[in-house]
Formats: sequence, structure tokens, C-alpha cells
Amino acid sequence: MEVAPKVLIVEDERMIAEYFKVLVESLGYDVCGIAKSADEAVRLAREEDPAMVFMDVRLVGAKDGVDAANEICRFKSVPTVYVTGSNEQETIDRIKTDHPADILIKPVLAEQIEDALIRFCPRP
Amino acid sequence: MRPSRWRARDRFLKRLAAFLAAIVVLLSSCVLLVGWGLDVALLRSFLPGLPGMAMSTALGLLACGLCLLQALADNRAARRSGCHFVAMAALALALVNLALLALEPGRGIDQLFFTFSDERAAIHMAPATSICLAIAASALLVRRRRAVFLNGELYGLLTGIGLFITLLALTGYVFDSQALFEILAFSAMALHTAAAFFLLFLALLLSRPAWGWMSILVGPGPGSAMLRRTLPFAVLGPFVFCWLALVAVEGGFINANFRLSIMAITGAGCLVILLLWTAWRENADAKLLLKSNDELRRALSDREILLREVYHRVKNNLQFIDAMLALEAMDGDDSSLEERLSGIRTRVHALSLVHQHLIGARDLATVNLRGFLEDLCSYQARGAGLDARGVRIETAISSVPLHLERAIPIGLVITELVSNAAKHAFPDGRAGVISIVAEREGEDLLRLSVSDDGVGRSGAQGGQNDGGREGVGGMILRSLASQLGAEIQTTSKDGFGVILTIPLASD
Repeated sequence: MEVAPKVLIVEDERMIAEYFKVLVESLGYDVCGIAKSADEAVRLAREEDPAMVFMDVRLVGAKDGVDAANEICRFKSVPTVYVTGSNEQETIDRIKTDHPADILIKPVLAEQIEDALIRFCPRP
Repeated sequence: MRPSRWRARDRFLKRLAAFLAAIVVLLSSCVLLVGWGLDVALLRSFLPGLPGMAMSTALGLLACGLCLLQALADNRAARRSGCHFVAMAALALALVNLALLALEPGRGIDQLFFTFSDERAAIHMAPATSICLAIAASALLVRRRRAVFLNGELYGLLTGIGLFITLLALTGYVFDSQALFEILAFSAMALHTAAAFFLLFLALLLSRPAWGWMSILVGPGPGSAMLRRTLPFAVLGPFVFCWLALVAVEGGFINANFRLSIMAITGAGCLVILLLWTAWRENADAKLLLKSNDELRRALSDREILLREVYHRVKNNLQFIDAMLALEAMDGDDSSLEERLSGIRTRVHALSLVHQHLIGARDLATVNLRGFLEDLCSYQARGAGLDARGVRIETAISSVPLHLERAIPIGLVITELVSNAAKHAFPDGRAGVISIVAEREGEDLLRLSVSDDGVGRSGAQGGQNDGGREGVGGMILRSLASQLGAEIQTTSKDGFGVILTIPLASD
């Protein structure tokens, strides 16, 4: 039996995270955790070893999504797709320092999430 | 200064000018009628032994004074009545007199027409008087209308020179009239001639308060207020000081040359103090300006940050609503409910998209129609899976800046029309094109058309009575159009199309 790839969702808005979770799971993936803060994201990435990360930029706490991705990058190479509400140039430039797999600007469509999953984390 | 106060000030200054001009007229006509007509020497020469006012001078003054009075009473009537011919005649009189004096000093235009055997024979229009008359007549001609370049400045220059000459003559009379007459140009310029021309130039200046340097003097700025406060001292100070110095020399208190030293040093000192004071004021003003600029910049950037934050929150909330709707739609098996929820989500997306563009906008209030609609269409194409159905969206959208007040309803209108086309125009796997055209019509109209090459309204399945769905869409469309003040037209040639003509006046 094939094992569903693990996806980590980093998003401080619980409702939005919940929607992503239902959406991602409906596409046959396993959501291994939802992180609200950068520290939580790093911990979950270490513990759960996800195959892909959906990363929001604004998070609870002082550190943001780019900090979290940089920290994860030190021990693990994982495609990170940013899902952010900030489309100002500064935010985009900051995200680009992390070499993201893709950047999705909110509002995101279900189809965009699906595309990202197929491109960066195809099911076996 | 408020406009009403400005007008009141103008009225006051013009009344003052008219008053001064009336004095000039009265004085010159008295000299002419009583002094020359009835041969009263006192009126001609003012004081025995002083030069008299020539008949030609009195005539010239009278002409200028009357001209100015009529112009002040009614400028348009003055223009019609040919007042300027009188001014031109006065100018000619002055120039002819100057020419005659150049040929033979002491023999002016008066000597050409009249021969007296008594002391009246020598009375002629002095060169300085002729120059004053020429300047006054020119100023009157310039005054008629602001037609040529630098008219106001030319007017200020003319009247300024006139004031300078007459004040020089008047001061000369006070200090040492004999010394004054030793200067050829001023010789035989009567005291009351100088006074009358002084009043005439003053009246000319006051009658055009917005022209030339007079505008600085009577203007509303703080610099003008300062000028008005200090002008009396600036004019009277040197005069009183020099007079005191003269008295001191004549009384034998100081030597005439030492007086010069005192005056030179005091003059230099005053100038330096004035310059220092101006520099100090300038520095203080610059500092104040810098400070307030800084505050303004900070307030502006605060506003920007705050507004961006608000847009973020709005967008987040919209994403939140979208997530709830999506969860609701995934929950049941009711496909009609899912379809309705998906319709609502498309509209919420359009709203989010406006805010996404606003966050990126430089002024945080205007989005570019092209960027916004192209994004919106690509979102809709993906959302409705148009690619997979073989339906393309083609756009030809002009780059028009759009205020958010208009961007929101326009975005929703497009959403509604594209959704309808995607839903009804291409049934049974039919492929086709939805084309969106937006362009300016003139300066203040936007023509927006959404059309498709599908089966048309009659061929659409469901159509108007699609369970009330179309009804809600239609209602939304109508209310948005009325909010935009737009006119709606529909076309049904080769498919179906809707054209909106939207006024853009407020953008």
C-alpha cells in the first residue's frame, strides 16, 4: 500500500490552516502538522520529516516564515511553497532570499494548492 | 488672507489711490486756473523765490490725475472713452519739452507758446519734471491692461523710479534747496510739482495693488507683514538721521567730513544688522520647515503602514471567509449548495484581489485596471477550470488608474459576467472564447465589454430560471452598475455580450 506523502502546514490563522488541511488531505496527502509559529514549524519539521511545507510569512511570535524555512534548511532539504498575504516587494524580496519552490499570494485557489502539490511533491 | 478680506483691502487701496489722484487734480487745476489764469504768484511758486510750476506741468499733471481717476471709477469706460489718448498726449508733451530743453536749456515748451515780460517768462518745465511726466504717462498706458509680458513688473519699475526722483527732489528741498538746483536736471523743479508727482506715483502704485513690488508690500505672507511693520522706519530712519547730522554740522557740533564718516559707518552698520537679521530669520524658517517636513513625512509613512495593515487584515478576513465557505462546501453532498457557495467564493476572491493590488499600489488607493483585471481573469479561468474545457479568456485592457471605490464594483461586475459566460455559454463540452475589452472613451468614460462566442442567451441551458441563480447574479449586476452610474447594453450577435459604459469623472 502506498504511503501518502507528509505535508507540513505553517499558518497562524487556524481556520485557514484547517481549510488547507482538509483540502490537502482530500487530494490524498497526509498533513503531519499545523504550526502557528516559526519555532513550532522547525520542531514539527524535525520530528515529522515532511515531504513538503506550505509556509505563511506572518506568524505568531517574533520570527517569521522565512526565518523558520532558513532554520529547517539547515538540517533538511524540503520544497517550501510560500502562501502569503503580503505581496509588497519587500516581503517578496525577503522570501526570495530563501530560494522558495513557489510563492502563492492569498487569496489562493484550491487549484493552486493542487498544482503545487503535484509539481513539488508528486505521489508515488 | 481670505478672499473677502483681500477684496476689502483692494477696495480700500483703490479708494486711497482715487483720493490722492483727486488731490493731484485739485492742486494742478488750482495752479492752472488761479495761479496762471488769475495771476496769483503764490500758487505758481508756492513760496517767493522758489521756482514755479509751469503751465505745461500743471496741464500734464491734470491730464494724468484725471486719467487715473476715470480708470479707477470704471476701467472699461476709461478704455472706451479714449483716456489713453490723453496719456499719450501728456507723454508727447514731456518728450517734446525734454527735446527743447536739450536744444536750449531754460527754454521749454512754455516759452514756445507764451511770452511774458515779468518773472513768469522763466518758468519752464524742468528736465526732472519732464521725466516724471513721461514716466507717469507711460505708467498710465501700461496700467490699462495686463497685456504684455512683465507688465506688472514694468509698472512697478516705472512707478518706483518716479517715486525715487520725486523723493530725491523733496528731500533736496528739506536739506538744501540751493544744492538741489545746482543739479541741472532738478533746477527749477517746483516744490509743489515734486509733491504732486509724488502723490501721483503713490496713487498709481496703490491703484494696482497686485502688480510689481506693490504686491509684496500688501501681500498676505508673513514676509509682507514684516515689511509693512518695518517700512516706515526704513524710509524715515535714514531721512531723520541725515537731517540730525545736517543740524549737528550747521550748529557747529561736528565737522562736515566727520559727519560723512558717521553716516558711512552707521549706514554700513544698519545694512549689516539687517542682513544678519534676515539670515537669522531665514535659518529659523528653514529649521522650522525641515522639522514640519519631517513630521509630515513621518505621519505619511505612519498612515501608509496603518493602511497596509488594514488591507492585510481585510484580505486575511476575506481568506478566512473563503476558508469557511470552502469547508462548508466540502462538508455535504449537495451539489447545488456547493455551486452556490462556489459562486460566493468567486466574489470574495474578487474582493481579496482588489486588496492585494491595493497593498502593492504606490498611493494605496489606486489600482491599475489592466493588472487587476488580468489577474482576476486568470484566477477565474483557473477557478472554473476553463483550460480543461477548451475555453479561453482573451483580454484587451487599457492601462487605466482606478480608485478603489470603482475598482471594487468593476471587479465584481467582471466576476459576475465571466462566471455567467463560463457557466452558460459553452454547454456540452463546447469550446470557445470569452473576450474582455476595457478601454477609455475620451477622458471620462470607460467602456467595458464581456462577450463570448458561445450558444447565446436563448441557447443557454437553465437561462433565466436556473433555480433563481441567474436572478441573484442579475440583481448583483444591476446594483453594481447603478453604483457605478453605468449604462448596460447587451448584444446577441455570435454569442452573447454585455457592454458597460462607466463614467470615470471622479478618478
